[in-house]
Amino acid sequence: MKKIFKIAVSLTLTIGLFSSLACANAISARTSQYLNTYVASISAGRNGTIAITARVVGKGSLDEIGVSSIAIYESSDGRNYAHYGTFYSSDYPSMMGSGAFYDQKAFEFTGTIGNTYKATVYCYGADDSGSDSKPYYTSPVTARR
Amino acid sequence: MAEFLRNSQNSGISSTNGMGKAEEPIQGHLTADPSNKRLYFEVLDEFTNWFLSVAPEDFDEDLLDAYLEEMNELSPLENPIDSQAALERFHERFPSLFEEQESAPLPANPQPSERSQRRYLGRLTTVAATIAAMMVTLISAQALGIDVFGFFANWTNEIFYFSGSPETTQPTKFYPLAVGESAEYESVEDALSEFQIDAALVPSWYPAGISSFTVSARVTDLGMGIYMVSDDEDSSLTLSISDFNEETGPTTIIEKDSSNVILHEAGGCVHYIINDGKWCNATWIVDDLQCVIGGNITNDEMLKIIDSIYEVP
Repeated sequence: MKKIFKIAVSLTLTIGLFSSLACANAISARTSQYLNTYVASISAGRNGTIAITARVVGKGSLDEIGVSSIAIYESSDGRNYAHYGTFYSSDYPSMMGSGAFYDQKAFEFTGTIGNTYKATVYCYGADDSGSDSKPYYTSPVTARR
Repeated sequence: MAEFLRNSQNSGISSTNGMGKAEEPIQGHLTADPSNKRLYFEVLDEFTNWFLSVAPEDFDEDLLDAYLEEMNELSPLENPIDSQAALERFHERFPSLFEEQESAPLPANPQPSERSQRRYLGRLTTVAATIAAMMVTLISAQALGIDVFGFFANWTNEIFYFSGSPETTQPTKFYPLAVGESAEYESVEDALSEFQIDAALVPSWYPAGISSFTVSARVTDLGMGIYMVSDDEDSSLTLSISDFNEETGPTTIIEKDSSNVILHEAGGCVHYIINDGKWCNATWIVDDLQCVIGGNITNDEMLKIIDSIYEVP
């Protein structure tokens, strides 16, 4: 039985290896041409103010760099979240800039004090050859007085 | 505010940082010395050829052990898998696969038939494939990394990030700018001086074609960010220096491809060299600062840039 198990484990590792290699090859073709690094955060200010800040660094200077959209989710119990709204750079120009990096407050809204909010921030870069977008999921924050 | 890998509406997946999705990590094969990698793959290739071609009657357990041991020595797994525990979990999760084998009455004189052997091989393959799926899931939940001063460097086939929080007390931050303000500087040295940062962070060597930079700094809710961006049209090079707070640690995600991360020690600090196609990044942590240098340069050029930071004039 020990021998059979060894064969099973060996076969498993081999399958896993080939899966990894296949996956690696598939992924390497998806290298981003525009985005280099990105991070976002959600923070609570006074009077229920909730702000989303993003820092995006491109691969060189880009025609557009920033946040293409932000999906915000709200919870009254801190566990169950409902979609609060999605906000786009086409409606909020502060979400988008140009150049080699974007580092600023992208969006702000007034939440309900005591409720918790989190966001999916879509970091974005584009030039005349194309564009790319990557999601960043923030941790939750509670709106305060 | 720690960032979590978590779909906004789902709570089942968790990891560190706000990376886009759970991804398959590169199996813990860190290779500071590329020659090790080649040797590892040579052995792996030889093992694979042998394993896939060996006849059952010639199967040599000792040879199998030797291959596995040699590969593990060349490139040890960072998070060794407990195969016995995985098998037990597999039994618990898929009991039906074993019911027939365990409950069927044993014949008085068992005669292995071709049909039963085929059925057995099929079951073995199913078991192996399922364990493989379980292991991939198990591995996916464990980001690979190296613990350096309380930070854990993690990477997958697509991204690199640090997790953890500093073990030492961070220096007091000084911002000459208010939150929301930005400023431009003559040089990155001037910017660092304004923010009262005296760590060695500035290279003294750059590849040919990179000669001038625009330097700016911003302060936001994320903290301070200093950016040094090359002005040259043909060559791109960006140095970013950003701080992080003690609660979150560094949370920036760096894009990468499926190639191995190279570790380079200089100035008493581990620098991670990360490739993403033709783009090359290096990142490291000093105190409460995360530095990233990125450009369409070679790994050798990046190594030279890093070493120049610590050269004494």
